[in-house]
Amino acid sequence: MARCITATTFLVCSLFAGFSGGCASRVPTDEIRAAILSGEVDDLEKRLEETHEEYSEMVTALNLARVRQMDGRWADSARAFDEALAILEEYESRALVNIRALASGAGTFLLSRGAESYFGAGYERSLLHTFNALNYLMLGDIPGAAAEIRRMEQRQAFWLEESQARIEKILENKEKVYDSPEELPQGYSMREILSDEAVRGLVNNYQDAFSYALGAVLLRLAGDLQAAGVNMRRAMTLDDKAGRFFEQAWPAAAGGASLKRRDVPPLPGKRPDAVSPAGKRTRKRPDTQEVTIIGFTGLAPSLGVENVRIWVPVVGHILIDLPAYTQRAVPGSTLLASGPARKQIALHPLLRTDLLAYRTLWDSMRAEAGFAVSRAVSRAGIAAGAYLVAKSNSATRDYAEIIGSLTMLFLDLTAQSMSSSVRNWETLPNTGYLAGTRVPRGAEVTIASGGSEQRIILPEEAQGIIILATEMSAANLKVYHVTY
Amino acid sequence: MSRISLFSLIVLCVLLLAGCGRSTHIYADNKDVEVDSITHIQDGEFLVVSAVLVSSDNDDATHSVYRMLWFDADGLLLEQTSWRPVVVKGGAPVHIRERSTIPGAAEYTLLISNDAS
Amino acid sequence: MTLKHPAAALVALALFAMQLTACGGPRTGRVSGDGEVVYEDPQAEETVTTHWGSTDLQTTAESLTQSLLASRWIKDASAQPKIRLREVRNFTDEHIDTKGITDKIRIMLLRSGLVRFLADDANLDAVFAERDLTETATRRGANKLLADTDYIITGTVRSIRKRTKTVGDVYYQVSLELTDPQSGEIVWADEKEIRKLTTKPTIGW
Repeated sequence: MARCITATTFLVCSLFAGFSGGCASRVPTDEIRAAILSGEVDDLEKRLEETHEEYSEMVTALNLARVRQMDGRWADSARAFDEALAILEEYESRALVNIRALASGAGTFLLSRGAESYFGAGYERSLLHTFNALNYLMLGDIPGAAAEIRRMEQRQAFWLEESQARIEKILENKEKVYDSPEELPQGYSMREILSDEAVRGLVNNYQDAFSYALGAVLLRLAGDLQAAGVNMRRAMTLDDKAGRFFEQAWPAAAGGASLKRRDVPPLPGKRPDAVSPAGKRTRKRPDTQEVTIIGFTGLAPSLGVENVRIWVPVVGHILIDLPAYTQRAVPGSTLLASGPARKQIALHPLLRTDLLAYRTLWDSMRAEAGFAVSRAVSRAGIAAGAYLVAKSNSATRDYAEIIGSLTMLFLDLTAQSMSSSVRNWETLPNTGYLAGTRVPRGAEVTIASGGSEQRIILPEEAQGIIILATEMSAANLKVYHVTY
Repeated sequence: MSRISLFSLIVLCVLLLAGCGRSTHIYADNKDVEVDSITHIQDGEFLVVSAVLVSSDNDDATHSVYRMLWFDADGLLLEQTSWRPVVVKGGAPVHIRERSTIPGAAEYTLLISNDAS
Repeated sequence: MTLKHPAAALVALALFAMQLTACGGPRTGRVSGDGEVVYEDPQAEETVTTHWGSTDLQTTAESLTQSLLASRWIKDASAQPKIRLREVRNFTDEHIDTKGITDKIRIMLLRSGLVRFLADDANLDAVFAERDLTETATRRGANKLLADTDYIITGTVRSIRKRTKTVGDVYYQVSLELTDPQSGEIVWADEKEIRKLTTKPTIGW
């Protein structure tokens, strides 16, 4: 029997080594954050590429795309976004009842949260297109950027349809939701954050004013003023700060209609779509130039798994694994922008990925808690079953407790190693800003953050400039621009 | 030559000439889609063909593709269109109209295929 | 062994040359790798996805060109009209290379022999912008540029996409316009509509 115990122990350790070895090569959050904050992302990029080649996961493709984008490699970033989109579209084209979903669901219900494959939360799927639009913008491909914005709009419509069935169930009281975070388990670290008014006060968990406001800017450049107007009004509905951005970027003439009823102004000096008769006198070039500033600071929170002790009737105290943002958002330094004579240009924070992330978690909390309890109970049940089987056999009766404990240990270790695959798009910035103004032709614009500062002199012949500033740390500010 | 023989010879020549004429349509595979009628007009140096397609299947829509081949007076291929998708439902006629875009088209062939590959 | 007869020598030489060729490389003019790559008909119907594809580009360009060539402004013009082809603007949610559409239209119009094309790198916006900067200096030049043009072709591509759990539907509308730059009048317009449907299987991998 000693040989049996030794063999069992060896088997358990081998299996654990196998599982953990296979799951441990994803780049840890600490390394990702350290690389980004230091501004040295070359090694990080190589590691993400290796991970993506090994796993072909959407989350790695998204992180890789964002890291390349921070480094100014627009075309490479767009390619990684396309790969993430291809994975998502393949998932969306699967049969209604498909074997992979059944297997993943069974694994999530019985074994580990990590059995669920990642295909992005609603806000992440939408931001995939928003950030890819920036790649096309910086490459000078305005129609391409506009196409990505339209995809963002479509993605939101699809997510609403996907969530519609669940929303209806909740409204008909067929699905339970938590009324307040006080109902969450006591030891759960997310209780306080999820009770924040800023989180609960969001209109929903997938729409953000930044994407729509940026959409209005890009669609206007592409000449689609009607669609730009729709985006402008959506942005203002989601967030009052968007209204302040549009007042700043496109100020109305004195006595003009209120912002919500106003049309998006065409580009100054730009001919309307219809061809004008030859020889007709045209307007002179304006003395000012348009400046639009897009700014990003900080890093989104990182999703992991947290073990929480709860009490379940009949069973007693058990340990459940709940998803949690175990590493909170990095807020980042303050970003500042100024025009000629150091006149400040106000930056409006229209994107908060941490709030979207927390709200997404809150909306799914009830279901997550239910699955977590079922996983804990099923693991305990399997271990109890192993114990009873060993007990019923005369050869193993004396070792039944050890076998039961080893089974429980094996299942817990397996679940834990699979939990390392619970990730999110953690390289998203925490905050996104927009600003818009007009400056005298050929003026200088300064972007500053912490101890870093960069100045851009506007080219005289351009109609306008769009500046993309990413604050990676207090000492690391990356600024790019494109003119039109 | 007797009158009957002359008459037969004339009829034979007319039939032969008609057989050498312009309207030929080929079914690449099965006969789910039929050409109910096909006509053409000469518009300067270009040929315009109009055809009506119907399906013998009254239950399901038949997804087919068709293309036009245009030939010059010597019978050499002048141009060919891409394969165009067409959906024919039961007896409801589907009108198609094609116009050659290279001058000199004198003959044409309409190809219809129901092969979805 | 010696070859005494000249004919025999020639035959031997021919056989030797054939043997060299056989050893020298592929005789069929094809080199293939390990993968499953085959050439397909570039004009075949393509139904890989519902996204904008080669069939949509071909049928759209061909259909609109046929319609334009049949219009009286081209067909019945007393002289070959001089045309500038501006861009077809993309208002869809896909990255459609609209230059592919305009290139195909240009090739077909030129082959018809009914029109003459003027260089379209002098983008009208650039012409007008230049005129804005130095009105007196370039006015004559820019006006002459436009005065040489009989018609300008512009277009748009739009789409409507709908989706349920099992069905995906996308509708494309490609429209083209012929405009007289002297008067600003749109003299001809036509459109091509395409609809594609995809359905998900109920059970699968």
